[in-house]
Amino acid sequence: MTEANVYSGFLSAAGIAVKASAVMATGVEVLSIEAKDLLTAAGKLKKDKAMALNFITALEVKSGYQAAYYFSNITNGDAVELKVTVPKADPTIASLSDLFASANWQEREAYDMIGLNFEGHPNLTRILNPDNWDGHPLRKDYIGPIDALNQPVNI
Amino acid sequence: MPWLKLITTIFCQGLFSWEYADIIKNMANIEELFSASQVRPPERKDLDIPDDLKANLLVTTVGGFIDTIYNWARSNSVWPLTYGTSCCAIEMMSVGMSRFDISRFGSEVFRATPRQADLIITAGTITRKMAPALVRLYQQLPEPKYVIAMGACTITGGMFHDSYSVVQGVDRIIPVDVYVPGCPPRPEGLLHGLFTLQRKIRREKLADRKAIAAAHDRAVHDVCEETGLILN
Repeated sequence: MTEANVYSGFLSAAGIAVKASAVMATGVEVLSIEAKDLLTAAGKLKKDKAMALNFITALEVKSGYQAAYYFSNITNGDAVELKVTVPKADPTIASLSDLFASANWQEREAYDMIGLNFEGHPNLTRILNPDNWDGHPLRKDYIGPIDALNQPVNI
Repeated sequence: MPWLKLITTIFCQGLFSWEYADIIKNMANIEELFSASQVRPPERKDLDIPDDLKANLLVTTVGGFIDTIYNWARSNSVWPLTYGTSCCAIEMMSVGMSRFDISRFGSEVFRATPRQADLIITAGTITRKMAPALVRLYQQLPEPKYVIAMGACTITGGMFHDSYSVVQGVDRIIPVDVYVPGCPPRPEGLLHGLFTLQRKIRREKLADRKAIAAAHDRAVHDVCEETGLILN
């Protein structure tokens, strides 16, 4: 269990603006930060060698596309989640794959399914869909292929 | 007896009954096997067949005889390809194990390469990403080749049929011989599918093989033209 607002205070002390914070029932702090601060915040967390990036998840919200980064400390179990929202017109986020190797494929998946553009990623290509796929399937405005293999279903 | 020289005869009770009588009751029995392949019990009036032999005697043509023997042998050694893309594959494995034991019907030799297999059991959802690979595997099977579409996903897309990434039925990309519905089908269901395929094989004629092979090639070619699946 994280002590309340440990990471919120930690990031604020490092000069990073925390827009909103909450604590989940499991004790995980959820902090919303600006996209431009993400790389700095991850760098500060990385200073602790026991900090691991468990997963990245991405979704579409009203104000844009949101990416959530779940970090946890493998020695004491502390966990913090950073949320970053970017506008739909320019969904660009700095890549964390230089800091955390586990970010590499996770960011490729977020790029493949939602279309987040991770700046500085060494190999930002599709990972789940075929290479010649058109569009990003988890976007709300996505329309799947209509051809001899898939046809629209009316129920 | 001159009719012995003119017609081919099989003393079927001794030759075939051991296999079918014991193994399973509702499989093709000996009469069905022969009625399917132009072999008829002796009815010709000009043949003087003793009454006590009539039950043990079948009259056929040379072609029908060869078809029957060839298909009988072929249908009892249908070697499947090791091909499972999701949960139906678990039932397919179960069929191969001792409780259901597909080796009783000659199909236990799951081959790791399509070039040594006769049959693809498409056990599981086929996605658009997997579709070119499946077409490639199908093309690598030597003729005569067969496909069993196992489970709801490979028949219609199943519960994923409105997904952007799932092919709505494997028969949209390769020709299918037998459909086994279920989600997933029980192992007995797959065995029944195999029996159905065996019956289909026994009804084939050697003379039709070229036409069937050409139809398979044409079907796959048409699909590739239509859908733009990458093939070479």
